[in-house]
Amino acid sequence: MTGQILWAIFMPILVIIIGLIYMGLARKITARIHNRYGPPFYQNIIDVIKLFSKKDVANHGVMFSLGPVIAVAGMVISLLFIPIGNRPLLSFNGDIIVLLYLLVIAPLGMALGVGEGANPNGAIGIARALTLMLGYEVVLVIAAVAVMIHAGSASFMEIIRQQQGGVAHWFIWPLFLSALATDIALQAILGEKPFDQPIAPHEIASGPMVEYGGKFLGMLQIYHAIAIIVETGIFVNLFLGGGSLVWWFVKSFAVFFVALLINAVMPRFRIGQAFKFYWTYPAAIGLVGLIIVAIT
Amino acid sequence: MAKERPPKGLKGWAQGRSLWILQFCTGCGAVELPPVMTSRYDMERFGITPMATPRQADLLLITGYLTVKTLKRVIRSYEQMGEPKYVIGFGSCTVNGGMYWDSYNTIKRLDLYLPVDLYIAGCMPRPEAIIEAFNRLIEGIKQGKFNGWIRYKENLRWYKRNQAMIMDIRKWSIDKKLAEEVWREVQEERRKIFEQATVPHVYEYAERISEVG
Amino acid sequence: MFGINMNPYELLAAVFGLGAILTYLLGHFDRHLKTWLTLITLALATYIFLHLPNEYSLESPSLLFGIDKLSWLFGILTLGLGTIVAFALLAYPELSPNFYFMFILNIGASIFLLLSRDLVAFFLMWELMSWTIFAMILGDGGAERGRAATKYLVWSAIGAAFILFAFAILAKSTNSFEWSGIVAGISQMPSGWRVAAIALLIAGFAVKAAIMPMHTWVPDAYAESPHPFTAFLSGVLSKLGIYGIFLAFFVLSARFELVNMPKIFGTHIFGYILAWIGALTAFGASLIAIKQEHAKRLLAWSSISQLGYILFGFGIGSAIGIAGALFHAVSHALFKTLLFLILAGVIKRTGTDRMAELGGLIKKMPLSFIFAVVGGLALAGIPMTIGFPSKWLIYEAAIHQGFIFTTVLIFAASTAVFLYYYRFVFSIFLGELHANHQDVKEVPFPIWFSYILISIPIFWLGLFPGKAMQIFAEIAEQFDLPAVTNFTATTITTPLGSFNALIVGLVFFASFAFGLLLYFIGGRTRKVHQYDTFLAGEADEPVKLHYGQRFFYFLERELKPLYRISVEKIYQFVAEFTRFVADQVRKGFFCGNAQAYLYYMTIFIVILVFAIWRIKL
Repeated sequence: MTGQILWAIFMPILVIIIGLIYMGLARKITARIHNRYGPPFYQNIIDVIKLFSKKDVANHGVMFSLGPVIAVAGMVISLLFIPIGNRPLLSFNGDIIVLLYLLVIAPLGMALGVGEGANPNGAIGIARALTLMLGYEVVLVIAAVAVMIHAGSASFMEIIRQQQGGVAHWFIWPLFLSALATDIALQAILGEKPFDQPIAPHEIASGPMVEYGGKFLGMLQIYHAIAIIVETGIFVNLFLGGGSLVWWFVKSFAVFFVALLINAVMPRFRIGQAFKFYWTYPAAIGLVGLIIVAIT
Repeated sequence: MAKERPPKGLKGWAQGRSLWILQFCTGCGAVELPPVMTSRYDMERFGITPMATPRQADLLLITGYLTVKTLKRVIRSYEQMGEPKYVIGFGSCTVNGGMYWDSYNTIKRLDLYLPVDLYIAGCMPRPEAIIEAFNRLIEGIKQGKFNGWIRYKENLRWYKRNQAMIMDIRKWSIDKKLAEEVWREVQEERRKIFEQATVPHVYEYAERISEVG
Repeated sequence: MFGINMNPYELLAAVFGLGAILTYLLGHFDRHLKTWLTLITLALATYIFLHLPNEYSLESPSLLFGIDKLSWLFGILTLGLGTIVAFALLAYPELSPNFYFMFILNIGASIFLLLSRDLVAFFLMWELMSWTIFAMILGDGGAERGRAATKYLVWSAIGAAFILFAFAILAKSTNSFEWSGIVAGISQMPSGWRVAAIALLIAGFAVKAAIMPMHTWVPDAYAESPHPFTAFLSGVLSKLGIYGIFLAFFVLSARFELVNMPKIFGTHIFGYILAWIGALTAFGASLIAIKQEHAKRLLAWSSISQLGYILFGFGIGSAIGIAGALFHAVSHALFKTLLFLILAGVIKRTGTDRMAELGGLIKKMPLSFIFAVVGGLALAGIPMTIGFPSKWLIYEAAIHQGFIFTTVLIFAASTAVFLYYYRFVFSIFLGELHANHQDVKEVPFPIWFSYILISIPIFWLGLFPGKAMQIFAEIAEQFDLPAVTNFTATTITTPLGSFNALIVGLVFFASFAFGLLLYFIGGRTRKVHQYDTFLAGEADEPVKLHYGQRFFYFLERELKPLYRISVEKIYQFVAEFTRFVADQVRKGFFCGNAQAYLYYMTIFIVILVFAIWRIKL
């Protein structure tokens, strides 16, 4: 029990650091693809230190400053509900559907905060993010339902348990179409191109973050760092069989890496196109996968 | 209140290693930035990244001459940035007007209106010079040398006065109260001069303005 | 009781009747007296309601009343939320005494509807309830209100006709007017009549429960009814339709075992059809809610969508599905009442519900904003509020039962909730404050106190869903339905997974503390003016930059093909067609030719003579 509590306190910090390193590596890898040298892999940690040390940050009100706080809190609680490296913390107290709803707390809190910022760019960013969410959530759910029906359970631990015993047991093989659909959805969940319309620095001045600076932006970086781990972690747990701590992070980085490669060479969809895209091809792929699972 | 000092130690190091820039793409300097960003010179090596809004940025780049119209926006953007914040002026236009030295509509000396930390000479400076400037700035920030925003805060009234000479600061300043006050002061002064105006007087005043602006 | 030798049922009826009449008469003298009288009436009624004996029968006319767990649940909702809404009415002294008269009668009719145990009493109370709603929507009149009220009335009449027809079938076939007799006799009915009766009943109740395609009166009626009353209309009165569907679906058809039809995915085809209707209602209505420009219409469509969820849960018909549907009925009653009351407060202060004209009210009405967030969290189904366990149960039931396509539709609908909820809260409370609303004040005490009263159960049942599950298990037991038994006060376990509400709540607060810690680690902040926003260096005073109109325009553009589908067009066509035929008939018969009229008279007399001759034989 003490060990669990210590792990529950230590783990988010570990995940934040690893997530920031992921982001740094992402910049490095993108730079290499662009034939640049790129920043050091710990660049994002420096960024966060700098952001937290900044003073005189603009503050539009209570909800505005609570937004990033809720964003971090919502991500930390989601993190505690997914088993990381065979170390379940609270996974017995909630299943995939609980997690899907916990994942929403963070963006919702942030959206409310952005709203008080009273910047139309922020609101447009949120509107785009929500539109995109309506797009990819359907795909994600189609895939998740397939997994739940295949495993006969919605509990992460049960799903991971059924995938034990080598690569051949991973759900990615029997549920290949669902995994593919989830991976396409993941591109938007991670906010990577071609689905980075909510942020789109060139169109709407980084959207939701437009009024956030200094420590607020630092908190949002931390939120993003945890979000990467949680979101890739869902894929790892559902389709790649979890794994021990190191393996888990290796797998999660592999998932992130795929998204990164696509990100590095892609332009951006118009938001309507992105929405339409999700409701056509990935949804169709997922539905075929779902029907196959339901029949067999 | 203790006198504010630029960050040193870990904070200063982090600040130096992670400069997020806000480009104010005026004049011809803007075109020198793409080479600095892309694979040839790659400023991201030093953690320098372009940012979309002043809220997120630490470093304001004034890339060339500033018309009075642009200056208003620049001042507002500068005042919206969080501290610590730095300003780099590109090219001779920001130093002394450059090739626009006799233009009626551009400002000649940027540091009358904003505290410039570093100038890059040249018309236009080449990317190498820009990278060199960034490196100087980073080194300086790490040692706590640059304190532009502190100067701006301490001499705010002076800066506002200078700004009020050429633009309506009431609309464009963040600190509306001070702006209102300074604006009234400057108007009062102007009114007095014109009241007792003889023709040479007005010329003299016009000259003073053109020196400033 | 009170030294009066009266049956509590009679007393309850007397309280409602006298309360209504007294409120109406005395309401003309003082602006506030009518609301206090309403509150006293409702308090007395609640007291009596909680002490009702199980059975009561009236000799002539022979009516039968009784209370069971299901009536108790819906009755508590009706009386509790009715009282809260009445409390909020303290801030609306401008409403006429007629309204209060109708309001009390409406609650009384709803309560006796829930208590009725035979068809006659049920139908009488149903009609009284419907007509009082009509009177309240109509109010003082006006073209728009009249249109909305007429639309409601037509639909209500159609629904009542369905119900009456179904009751006639049931009474004729089982020779009984009592529910118990019908439930006992229904198994001897011919199969076709049985299906027809149940389908007609569900169709009739679906009008009140705003299920597609019987929903078209809802947006207009909700938009035009008095603002605080809309809360009651959406929160409680729609639940009476749900109550009726529950009766028809589970009590009468004994969980469709009596309807001899094939099964799909382990569910009866009847339930399957209902689940599809429910899912399509939820999906379609939430997509339409996204594009509304008026906040009341947005919430109205949201109500239709959420009621679709409940029907979906009933359609699944498994233990979890029924519990989830009932749970969602309770949670929808709570949070939608709250949201409509908040909107009523906003309209009271600003005079409009057009979202493009609002904005930035968080600075002026912080309390309303907080409760709008609470209501929204429950609407969106965020854990820790009552909205989550109910939705979660429905999802688990659907996936467990293998309802794959409908599950996807339901999930899409609940994602759409985030869209329209954010639009609602952003356009009203966040963003830029409109120039006209610079000196708007917080809503008056009765309104915000009613927010607090509703928020307590929202959080309490959100953290301890087991308390509600206990009641649902008892209801299921009472009607011999499968019940979810695997739960404690905080945890619910289904075959698929489990959910511990209290742990989620506690961990969230721990995480929140972590977030706050980060907040305090960071440097100091500076409070900036609302207009001090980044607009590429521009200063924005002279411009209005509230992003309130056509919030999801890019989405609407993509969804255009879906938006083109509309049942209203079909109804329009039917109406046009009927008008055309009737016109032709009128032209044909009332031609103004005396000779023709003479023919009609002759034919009529011939028929009359023939009839008399037949009867004599």
